[in-house]
Amino acid sequence: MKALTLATMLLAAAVVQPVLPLILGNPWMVPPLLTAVVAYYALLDSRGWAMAAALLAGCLLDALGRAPLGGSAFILLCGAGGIHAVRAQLYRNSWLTQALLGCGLAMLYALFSALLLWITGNRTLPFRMLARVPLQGVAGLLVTPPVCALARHLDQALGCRIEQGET
Amino acid sequence: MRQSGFSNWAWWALLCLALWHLPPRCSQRVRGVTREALAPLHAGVTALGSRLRESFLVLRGWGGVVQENRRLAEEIAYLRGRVRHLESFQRENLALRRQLQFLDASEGRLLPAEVIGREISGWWDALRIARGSQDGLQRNMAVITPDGLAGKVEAVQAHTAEVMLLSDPSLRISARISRTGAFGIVRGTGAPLHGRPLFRMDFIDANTTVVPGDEVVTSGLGTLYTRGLFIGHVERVAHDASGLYQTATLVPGADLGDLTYVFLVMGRRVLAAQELQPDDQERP
Repeated sequence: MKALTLATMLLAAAVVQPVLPLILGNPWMVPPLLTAVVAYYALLDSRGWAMAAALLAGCLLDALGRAPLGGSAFILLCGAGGIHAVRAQLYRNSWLTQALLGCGLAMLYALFSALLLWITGNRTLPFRMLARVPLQGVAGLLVTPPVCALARHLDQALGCRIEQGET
Repeated sequence: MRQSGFSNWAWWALLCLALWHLPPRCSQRVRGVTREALAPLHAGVTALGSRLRESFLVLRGWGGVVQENRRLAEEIAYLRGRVRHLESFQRENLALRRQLQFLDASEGRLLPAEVIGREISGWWDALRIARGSQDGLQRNMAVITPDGLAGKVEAVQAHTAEVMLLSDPSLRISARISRTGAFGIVRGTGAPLHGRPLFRMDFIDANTTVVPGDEVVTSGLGTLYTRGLFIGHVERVAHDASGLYQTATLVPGADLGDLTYVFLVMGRRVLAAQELQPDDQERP
């Protein structure tokens, strides 16, 4: 059942993420939904599920985008591993924690994917385009709590065990 | 416990590394399968979202709809008249060409395509369209809108394709200023936060007079685009640091930030992959 929740969340995020900037008519409005799903699993689930979510989300980002396959997955694995390592010290069920971690993960992903593109020589990035990094952070701040609430609701509806996060 | 956690993470990281080193053919296949599988969902969500957006816009601008309808009706009547007028010119032109034994200069038909998504990471100005190799699409075909050139086909799957937009800094095309015939290279500067993206036209001869408002079109000298496709208008001009060339800032004709439909120029000479350089850039 947990696999079903994970698959549903990743699929929904992968469908909405590239379509939303089109509907809003602004190419900058890319909501980091896939990183929000990774943040949810890293914060509230076991290491195995967190890593699986990071790997699959990264593969979807790379397959639907133009980055080398496995690159985004590696960045998200690092982020998910970091969140998992420090989560014992956090109020995991608080929306503020989720928002801040979502912001951090989205910025980390945006920054490292830009670096990755630059290092692999896939493209030159004008300095102005790096404004995308803090913007992705703001977008992560806004979208992560609703995504976490939705995933939690889906987990509960399907009868999956959710770890209690309060410390 | 911490050590076991790290080794667990290391295994996952190794898996990523293995994915990174998949043979290009294999990784292309993975990309193709994923894109094709998600394309119907992308198309459905885009259609739903577009309807919601249109409904919102109608509700917001309810008072202006009647005037807008009247204006559009007048425009349609005017354009119909213009089309009839141009058709008579075309017939005359064809007859004269036949008499002079010129070849038909038409560059093939246009295929409309619905835009179903943007590039997911946001680092490229690229679109996904709901047309693929089954519709006759090939890599490097020109993509246009009624307002001007939009970009080129970058990758093709069976039912979908990726279009690299002109606003992306990685794309460069050979262009010409219509009034003077001066050549240059046009490249995008990335999508701005709001408004239309601007282009830059580099390497314009310093002795040519370029003024704001000049029309810029494709030169046809490169390998990808037919001659005379409208790109945009000159907004301002400056001499570059060397003093040998001028650089112009262009306002593109097409609104590349807000596209719902594009047209593919079919039947234009499309070079085989081995004939093109790896980055497929046009040269003057």
